Amino acid sequence: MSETLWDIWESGQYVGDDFSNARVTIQKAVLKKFGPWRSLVFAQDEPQYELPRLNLRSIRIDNRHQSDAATMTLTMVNQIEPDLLANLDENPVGGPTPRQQMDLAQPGYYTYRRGITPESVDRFGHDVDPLWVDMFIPNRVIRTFQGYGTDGAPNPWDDTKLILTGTWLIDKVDYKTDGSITIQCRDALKLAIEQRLYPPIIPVDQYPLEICADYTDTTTETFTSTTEIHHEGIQGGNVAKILLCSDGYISGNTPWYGCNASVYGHRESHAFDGNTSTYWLSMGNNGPNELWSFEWIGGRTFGEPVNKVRIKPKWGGYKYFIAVMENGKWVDGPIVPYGYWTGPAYPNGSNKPYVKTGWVPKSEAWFEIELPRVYNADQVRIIFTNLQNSGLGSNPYRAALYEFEVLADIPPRTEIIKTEGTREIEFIVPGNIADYTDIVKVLAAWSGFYWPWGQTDQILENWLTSEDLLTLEQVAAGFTNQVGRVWGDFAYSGAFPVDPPCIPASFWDNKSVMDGINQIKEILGFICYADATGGIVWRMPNIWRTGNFISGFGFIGQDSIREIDETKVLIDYGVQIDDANLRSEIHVVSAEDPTLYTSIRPGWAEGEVVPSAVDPQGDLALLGGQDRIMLVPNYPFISQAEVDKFAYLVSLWIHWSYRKSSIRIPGNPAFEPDDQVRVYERITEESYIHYIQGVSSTMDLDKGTWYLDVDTHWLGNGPDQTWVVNTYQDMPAALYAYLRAIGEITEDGDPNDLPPDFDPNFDIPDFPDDVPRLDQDLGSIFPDPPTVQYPYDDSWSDKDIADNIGSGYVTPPTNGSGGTVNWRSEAWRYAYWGARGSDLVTTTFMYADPPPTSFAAQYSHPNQTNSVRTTVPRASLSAWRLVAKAFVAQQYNVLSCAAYAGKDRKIAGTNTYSAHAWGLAMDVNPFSLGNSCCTESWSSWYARPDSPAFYAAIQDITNIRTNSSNTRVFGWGGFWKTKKDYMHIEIVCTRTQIQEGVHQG
Amino acid sequence: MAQWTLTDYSTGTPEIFTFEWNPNKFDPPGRSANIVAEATSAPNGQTLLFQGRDKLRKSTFEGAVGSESFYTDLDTWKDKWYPLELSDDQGNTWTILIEEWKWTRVKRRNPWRFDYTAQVIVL
Repeated sequence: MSETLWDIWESGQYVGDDFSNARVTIQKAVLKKFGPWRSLVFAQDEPQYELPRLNLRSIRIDNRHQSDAATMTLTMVNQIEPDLLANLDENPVGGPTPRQQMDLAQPGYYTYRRGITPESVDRFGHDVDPLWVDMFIPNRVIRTFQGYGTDGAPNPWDDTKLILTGTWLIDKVDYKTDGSITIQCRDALKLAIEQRLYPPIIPVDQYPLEICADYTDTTTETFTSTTEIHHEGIQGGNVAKILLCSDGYISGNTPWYGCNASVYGHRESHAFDGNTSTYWLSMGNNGPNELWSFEWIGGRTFGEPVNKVRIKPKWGGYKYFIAVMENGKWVDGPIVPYGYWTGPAYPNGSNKPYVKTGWVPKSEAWFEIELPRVYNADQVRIIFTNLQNSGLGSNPYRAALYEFEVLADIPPRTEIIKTEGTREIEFIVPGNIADYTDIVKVLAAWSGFYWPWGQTDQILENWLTSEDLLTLEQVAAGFTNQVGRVWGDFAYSGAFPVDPPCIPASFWDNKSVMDGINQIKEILGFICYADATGGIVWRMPNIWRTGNFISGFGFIGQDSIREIDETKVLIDYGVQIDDANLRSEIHVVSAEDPTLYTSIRPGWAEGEVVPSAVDPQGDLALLGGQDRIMLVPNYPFISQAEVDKFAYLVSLWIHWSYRKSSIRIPGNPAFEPDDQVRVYERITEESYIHYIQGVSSTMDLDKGTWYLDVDTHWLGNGPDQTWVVNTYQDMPAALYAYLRAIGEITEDGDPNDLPPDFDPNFDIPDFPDDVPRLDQDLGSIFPDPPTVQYPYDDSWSDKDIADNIGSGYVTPPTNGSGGTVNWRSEAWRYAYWGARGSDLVTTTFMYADPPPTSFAAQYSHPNQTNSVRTTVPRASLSAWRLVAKAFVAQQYNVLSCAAYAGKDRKIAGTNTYSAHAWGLAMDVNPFSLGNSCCTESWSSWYARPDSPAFYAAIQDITNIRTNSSNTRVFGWGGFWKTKKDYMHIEIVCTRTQIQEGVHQG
Repeated sequence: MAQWTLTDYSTGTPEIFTFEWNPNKFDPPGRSANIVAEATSAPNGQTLLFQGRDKLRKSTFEGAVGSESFYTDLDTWKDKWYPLELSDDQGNTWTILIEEWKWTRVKRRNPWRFDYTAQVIVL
């Protein structure tokens, strides 16, 4: 409301140009269906016609929140303004002339069937005015505009001196022979009152209606845990260990002497002890090169990749053969020519295939033997012939080694050990609502409060099914299934059904839509009414702090308390003290579960009218000690918090009923139910703040009078003084937390005043923004479809990351740094993003025109495009555009693929649907060589995940946040703890969160 | 001096009646505003004024008739139930609806000597 109008109102002089005025329009309307939704607002594609002001007699509006709908009664004159000097002998349609009928002003001109029957022409000489035929009948839409004066605007909604005071649906029309028409209407909630929760209001495929919130269940699953063991790299190290006796022969000596037995004090282990003064000595032979003169020693090498043998020989001069066992078999090659079948030979195992042979110099220096290749060797043997004369024994020809080594060149590696087990896991069973308010939204949209433009309401999207298709005509008119919301102003409650999480179908059956809404209203303690535009207002009553906070046509400023001064505009005032509704105790018991109950004793606040005796306390004192108990047994509460909250709210309303007042003032649309008002009146000693329960506006356009009768109850003793709700000790903790979360209570105050079980670190519910009211559009009644502007613009900086070339790699991100891994389950995606593959829109993901120049020459490819179309959920469009922008800022061209691969896309090697199946993930290939989307294509430094440019882009992307709750929007596969996927970018927030809007954090 | 006239447009062709004698008494149409006053509850409070649609404007004129034709014609014209245009001797015109017409026979030798009082609604 403008200050000008307020000043006129306070002046009390409603004369001259400031006369009390009304203009009224009427319009034909049939609810238009958009899929399962119905729209009253957009049913009105018929023009509005203004009723001649001279015909208006009176307008009476009764609006109180205890009623399901406000009512309006309009009386008007059923004739037209006569042409004073008209020819009374002419009647263009035939029949009696006006002179014969003595009809001067065509009485009955607005009667709904005038002129359309033969009798009306023959008998009455009535003509048809197509404008008004069938106009004044039920369910036409009437709008009332009231105020003081007029600026002469052609359309009432443009008249700055008038305010829209209601959007009405006609209930009943009385035509009378006294020339009057009386039209009775209700506001738009008539739609909810008169339509019932059966098909087709409920879509057939949703009936019977079961509403559930998400809930958590558990199941047992088999899982495989993976343990990684890191092995350090070894370069040139000796991996050889002495063979085990259990393996059989550990050298050529074993058949003669036994395992690691002493030969003149020398053993096999001396060749492996790292001591170059001790040595292994073979058994003796009678000649250096007899057929049987072959001696050997070998070592275990554990499958390591060996490529050298190093020995420190005693005497030297041997001919050697190297045999290698790999994967349990001796590597093929020529066989060592050991004559094991000959006389003194005892088969000592020398006859193995060898991979290399040669001569050991006649020296005792270290000697290295390069193997033909790298063997993952289990065992390596060195076999000697051309034995040397040791001078020991009768057969002195022997072999001897100080040390035997097998060298490996082992890179670092990771060993993965998988272990299977079982565990109990929780999973989310997705519901179809997240808040009680969602129920009201859906019911409202079904019954006629759908608004088909602008930002899409998430809850409506969730309730769409594939059957809910628009007509071709609607599609041609620019409507889509996905766009739309509910007309009104909805506050979220932060509450939803729990334990059980579902509201059964029986809860809704045989109820009107309004009854369904009222059930939820009682659970939450909310109010529900239709505002002047016909939109639903759904919220907590305005009782928790001083001020008026809902904008609207009557809105005159935040925190404003409407003040009524007895010397200015107060015509009449009365205060009633009435104990009729007062109760000493209130007991609320859940109808669902009698173990859920609470009892409360209403009390008063300091400064309130109380008996002089203050013992007993509370309303029991106001009742003079009478015990009046109230039992509320019929509400199907399903949690203790709901019972507590309801009992507390009931106690407040009952207590407030003790003191009520009625105010008569000149008409003023700024006074609406749920507003607070302060009255100053001397006889009743009134200066308190009151809550408006209802208003009755009566305008007589003949007399020029316009009265507003306001019914209130007492709220508190001044804005800065005692309030009824000034201590929170008796308040349920859940209610207190909720009021804190929505800003109705802003301070904790004295800790002693808090609810005893209140947790100061309570979890603030996730409250989506209220549905916008589009006030800016309401003036024209038929707003043009708003143009959706995405925050992305096509500009990018000219940053040239060539400066970074050669500056070295940045440190790759480690687990958990730069972003929390949000690994979301299928259940999570279904719950928060709906069915797979639904609500997808094909869009241009990447847009770089002209293409970035810095890398164009180096990285251009014939198959590369710089405008890639892919498919994501509509709600996520703005967020993906920020992803594109982040890449463009780093001068990448992005070739996207697999953003949405259809309903059957599953995680490779599993039976689990991938996030791609929801359109929630996109694999990007910044390098974009060809059409490859594989991580193996990271063949350039610039496209590596640890390059500065790519990681800078990822940092930007993982810092994209939602506007209100500042929730991270994207996760990156490079942050995954186990199997990293550097090309994978995935949405990790909910649709509701992303609908807050997004920004580059 | 111009004569008073009544004009009837209802036939499509204006029909004019000219008064033989002008009325001898005339209360021209005035204005009657429709004001409702309400007192605020405080004795020292302001008065609230609501202005509605103006009340009907009415006018009366009186005169005398001295001839049969004048009487007969005027008696016919007074029965017209629809708006007429009234023009006075100063050239002022109003659209009127005759609400009340009272004849008074004056006992003179002239049998057509009547006085009349007319009350009209000014549209």
